Amino acid sequence: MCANLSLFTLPHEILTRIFALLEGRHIARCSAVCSYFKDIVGCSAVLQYFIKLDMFGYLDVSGSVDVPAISATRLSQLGRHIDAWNKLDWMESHIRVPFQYEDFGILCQGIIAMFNLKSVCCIQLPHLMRGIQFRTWTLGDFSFPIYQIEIDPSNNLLVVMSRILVRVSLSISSRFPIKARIQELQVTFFSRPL
Amino acid sequence: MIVSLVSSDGKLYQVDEAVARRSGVIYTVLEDIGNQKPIPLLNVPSHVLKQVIEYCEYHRTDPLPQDAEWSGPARAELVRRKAVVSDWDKKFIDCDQTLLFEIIQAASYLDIKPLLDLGCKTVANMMTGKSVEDIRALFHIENDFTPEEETAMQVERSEFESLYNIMIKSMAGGVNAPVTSLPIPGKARRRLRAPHY
Repeated sequence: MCANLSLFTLPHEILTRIFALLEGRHIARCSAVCSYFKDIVGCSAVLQYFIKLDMFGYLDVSGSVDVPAISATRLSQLGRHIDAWNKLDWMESHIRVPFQYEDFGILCQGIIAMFNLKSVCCIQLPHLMRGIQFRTWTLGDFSFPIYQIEIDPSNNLLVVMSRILVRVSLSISSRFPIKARIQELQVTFFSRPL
Repeated sequence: MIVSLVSSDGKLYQVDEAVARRSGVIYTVLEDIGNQKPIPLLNVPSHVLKQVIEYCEYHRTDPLPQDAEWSGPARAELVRRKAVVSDWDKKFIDCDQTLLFEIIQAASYLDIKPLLDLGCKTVANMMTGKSVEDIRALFHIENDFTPEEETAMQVERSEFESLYNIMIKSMAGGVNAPVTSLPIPGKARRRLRAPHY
């Protein structure tokens, strides 16, 4: 360790670490400071990724969504994503699921929810960019006949309504990370006589 | 149990095993060889080792970090968001630049992740929002670009920044919004950068 240690003499990997804590704009600015910094920023996929994210106004959600967070992969994915938007390039794919539900229900943030009287079936559409796999699952055996369902992702709510009684349950699915575990409240009100 | 550590300039330090084990390197040494001889730390001079031991003494009861490796964007995001730095840590890391960099280097060498994160975050905070010239002045870095390189980079950067401004503007109030409405306060800007990738 030399006597006049400065930021300039810190090893490569520590500087990469420091730069990775900055916002994309500031990383880009650092690369203009000297040629050593420019090299570091130039050959680090993580830093390039952050610059690109910031440049196009995206946020990385790999911390909250379960994706392999390999920065080189993420960087090339992001590049393809931006290219696709520039060319309005859409990809068509087909998924077949057995249909035993009475209503299509709703499509919300990549999840289709269908329901019959007793249960709700959810279909997660795959998302290549976010590494989300196709899957289906059933929320079963409600003690009341289901009349309508609603998904409110901003509040982490799945609202299942019956005709007379409205039951609001804060539902857990791994898709919506949630703070409180289970909280149930029953709200009774009088529905309009039919 | 007491562990003896020897700094690069030959000073002997005696610390509790629990304190010494906060360093990944010393942890491995104790697991592999056991606690028999003083452990020489060839890259850490005594004035830095003193600081590092002080940090480890204070944080001796903290849970050891579980994540094995610093891997990519998710981890960096995590450190970035962990904005809460305790008062003690702030005071501890508030030292002159040379010592700060020596502590960072020692933390990296001894594999003490929380201390390394703390140091890196401190340096990152020093750089945030500074212009290129400010950063050069702050860390005494010489500009070693040729004038041609510099011009090329300036063009690149102004493109980036105009792109960014257009984006903010178009989100803030359509393309006809006056340029003088910039800059947008931090909170609003974060909200505007909505699209998640």
